[in-house]
Amino acid sequence: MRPRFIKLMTILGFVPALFIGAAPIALADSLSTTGPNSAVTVNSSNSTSLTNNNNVTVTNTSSQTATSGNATVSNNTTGGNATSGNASNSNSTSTSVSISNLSSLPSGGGSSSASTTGPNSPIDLNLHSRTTITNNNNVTVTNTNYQIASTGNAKVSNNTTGGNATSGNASNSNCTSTSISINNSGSTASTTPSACAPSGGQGGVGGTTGNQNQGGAGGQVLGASISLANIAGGRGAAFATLPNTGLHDGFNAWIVTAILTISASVLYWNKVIAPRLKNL
Amino acid sequence: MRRLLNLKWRLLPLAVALVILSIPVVENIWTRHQIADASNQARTKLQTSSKVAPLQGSPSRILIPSLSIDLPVISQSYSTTTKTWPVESGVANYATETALINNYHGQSLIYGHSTRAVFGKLLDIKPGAEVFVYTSNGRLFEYAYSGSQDVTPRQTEIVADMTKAPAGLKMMTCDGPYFEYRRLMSFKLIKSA
Repeated sequence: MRPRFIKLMTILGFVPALFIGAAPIALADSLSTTGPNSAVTVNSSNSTSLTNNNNVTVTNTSSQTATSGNATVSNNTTGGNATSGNASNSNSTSTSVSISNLSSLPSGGGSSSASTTGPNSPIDLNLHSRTTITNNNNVTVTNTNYQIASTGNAKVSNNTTGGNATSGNASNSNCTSTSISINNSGSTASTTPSACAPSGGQGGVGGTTGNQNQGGAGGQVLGASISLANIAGGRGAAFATLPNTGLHDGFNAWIVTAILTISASVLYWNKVIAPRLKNL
Repeated sequence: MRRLLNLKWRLLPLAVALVILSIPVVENIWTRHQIADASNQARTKLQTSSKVAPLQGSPSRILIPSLSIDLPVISQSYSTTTKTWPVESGVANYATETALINNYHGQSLIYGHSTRAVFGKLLDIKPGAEVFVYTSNGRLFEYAYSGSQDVTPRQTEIVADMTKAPAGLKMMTCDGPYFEYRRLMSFKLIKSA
């Protein structure tokens, strides 16, 4: 009787202890266990990958040509003056690139805890953490600027008294500013594009003619009009596809008209003309 | 004799039919004549011009005598919304993203449908064939066909390559049984005026 009573009390005491002991598995702040056959197994893995590839290509090409014209005085009884104009080129290119990438990942916080008491209460914890950040930034900027400014010729010739001929000035000016800022969740990256007021080529002043028969030709101003040549090379923007020029030739009315006309003519010949030719 | 005279009037419908059938032939001959005239005028203008100065302009007309092509050119821009190029039927289309027609730097792209009325005949162009392009500001440029290549519609890098190339012209139309290719034809600049 006594052993049976002890056995019953043991069972009654073990069951609540089992529930009371299992509850803290999810709630407790520490990992602990007591009792026999209550081993704790923790599997933890942590994988972090961070890739930043920034390819920035900036190509600035600027070709400028400024040519001053010739000034010639020839075959005059009294020679005049001829002055060739100035030719100048100016180019200013400013490129600013700023890249800020996330260099490291913040350490993961949080904790896990479990505790249990009592025998036959093993704990298995599997902890996996994976973080992958990939930033690929490819930026290609191509600035091309071609400018040509040329003044005309000033020529005075075959004058009894030579006049003056002055060739105009030729001037080119170019200013290109490129600013690229890439911020992949790093610190703030900012660039300030340089203030750059583009100006077209300055045309030359027309040559002044002499006061006699044959004056020099006026200066040919090319700089002002050709300054639009900064788009002469084309913009070459990014496109998803090439033009879709596929189209079938539609209904050809002439073919149908020709077939109908020939058919009608043959029918007409057989029914109308041929019998009468036979009667002739 | 009376029967014969009676028969003569009955032949009138056949004469009308003959006239109808001859219309496209006459039209073709007339078109060739017009294009030949325009080509001769262009050659004369280029020969008389000795000025070698930087010229440029937006294309307004294209003339290919060997293929009897004489078409107006309209400017088109790539749509960033639909991500397509508009292609107008019955005319040649100039891609404004490429260089203006010029004689100093960059290639221009003119494209059109591969129909008989537009650029379908371009697939038969022979090396050395001359092309005249008029611009809206009165300039004239002469090119000669130098070669071609088939590209896929996704090979858009050719447009960027054109910006870096010397002065020239590219023409494009569809090729392949299902229009799966783009025939890109290159023309080198010969003369400008």
